[in-house]
Amino acid sequence: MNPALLVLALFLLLSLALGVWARRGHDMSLEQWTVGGRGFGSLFVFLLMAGEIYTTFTFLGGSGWAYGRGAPAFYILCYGALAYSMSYFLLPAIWRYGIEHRLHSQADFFAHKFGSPALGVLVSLVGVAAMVPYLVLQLKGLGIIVSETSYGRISVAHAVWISVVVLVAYVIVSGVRGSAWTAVVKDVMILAVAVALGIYLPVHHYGGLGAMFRAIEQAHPGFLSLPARGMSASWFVSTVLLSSLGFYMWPHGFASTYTARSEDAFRRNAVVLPLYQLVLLFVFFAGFAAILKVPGLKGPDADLSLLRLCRITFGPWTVGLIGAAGLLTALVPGSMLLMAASTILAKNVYGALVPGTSEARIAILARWLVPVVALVSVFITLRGGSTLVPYLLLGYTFVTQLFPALLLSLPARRVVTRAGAFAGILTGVAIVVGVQASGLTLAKLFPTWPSVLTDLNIGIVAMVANVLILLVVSAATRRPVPRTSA
Amino acid sequence: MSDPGRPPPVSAGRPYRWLALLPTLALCVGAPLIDRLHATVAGVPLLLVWIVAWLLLTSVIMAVIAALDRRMERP
Repeated sequence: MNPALLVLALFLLLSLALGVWARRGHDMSLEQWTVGGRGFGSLFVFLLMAGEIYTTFTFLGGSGWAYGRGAPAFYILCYGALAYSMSYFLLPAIWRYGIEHRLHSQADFFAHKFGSPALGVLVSLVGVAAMVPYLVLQLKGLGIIVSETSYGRISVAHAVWISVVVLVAYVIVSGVRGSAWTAVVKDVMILAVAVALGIYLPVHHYGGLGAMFRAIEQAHPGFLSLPARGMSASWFVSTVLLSSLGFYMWPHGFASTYTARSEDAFRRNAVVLPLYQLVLLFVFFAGFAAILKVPGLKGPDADLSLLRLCRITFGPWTVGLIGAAGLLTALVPGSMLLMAASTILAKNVYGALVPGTSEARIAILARWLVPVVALVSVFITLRGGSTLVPYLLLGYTFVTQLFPALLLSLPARRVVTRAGAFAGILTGVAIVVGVQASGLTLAKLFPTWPSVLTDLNIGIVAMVANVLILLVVSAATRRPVPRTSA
Repeated sequence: MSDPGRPPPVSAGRPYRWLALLPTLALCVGAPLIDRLHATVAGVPLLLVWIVAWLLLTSVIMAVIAALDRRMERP
């Protein structure tokens, strides 16, 4: 075993140990297992929420897109800040309602708000549909990390299988407390590694940041500006909007909202978390540094750029440490996603369809679903295809369809009816699925339209249709007497 | 407009809360305009500098809103 893999294995054992240790002395009921029991302080909630944004997407996806796409990658820096400024107002409202009614999940929220368990099932299915590509992204990332730190001795396909076994074991061992403690280790590591790489690589290989960007601009003119077509300004803005509106619509993000002890936690997060996004800047620097030093990585291989550059810059022990940081950025969010998807399928889909299922049965079912969801993700992962970033964007096109109904359910005067919420979400999802399945794009569908329109992110187009249908159906189905919420 | 016993809209009596819209304007309207300048600051693309500056400003703005909210809510 080479030193890099050894370091990776050590960190894996450490995170498993943290999981076992965190779990000791806690009765793992379903609520314990997923929500961790209410009463996490603001520090824990902070770490859980921070843990969700530092994923493989940040580490390998961010650098891969800086390497392969250039300026369009900057969208990743923008949407978090917008989401946090919104969270200040949005999350306390969601939290208060959840605490009042003892809700555990996003599906509970919708089902309760609209008095419709069926809507809860629909929301759950949309959430799981969005989480699978996000989980695939983490697995792909883990595969890349294991394969690269083995210096190519382990193939990516084998690495993905190893990774999924590790991930399932981790989830079964740890639950949310384990994730929170590992998140501490992970955040410290990724922060240190990203900042160190983002400063060291440009200085070491180019003599400085300015020199690096000048060299890139000279070799690839226009790479550091948004292109006129394709990922143009119009794509950029619509994608930032899509991602920021959908940011808190992820079922696992929603659920971690409920782990807060008070509203103050959200306010503090809205102030601090935009700064957390700055880590991405350093990840971008590392990705940019790779452009002229490890050229020629095409298509999905762009995601290898960061680790490839590290392999030619550092010795195997350092590569192992960098890989370990990457491992944790995949393991923690991956475990959260896997756990959340399994719990949602057991509780909010099966439990809602078969009323009267006991809590204990649902908990057992949730655990059995963990390997099932993991296997489905492995098969999608091994089918290959794109770089990491589009997987997350695909997830967002689904999950953002929940935003209009959620937002409009909050005001005192009910704007949206049950039928309106159903119709809106179904419309949005149908458009996304239709476009995905047919492989069409707006540019192909409407070749004569200006690119300002055809470059729009399809998720935003679907959301606009979603809102229109939602409003029309709500207006048509509104009862003469405004209904007060339960 | 509001039912009795319901919380008022989030901005009622707290106009400073509108500041929270600034980051969205800066990044969704401002960023594409900045991009067109194709300018650099010490070699670094101005677009990137602009975005990073607004991340910092977002934090500052939310801190100001939080501080003013705390003052409003003090009994």
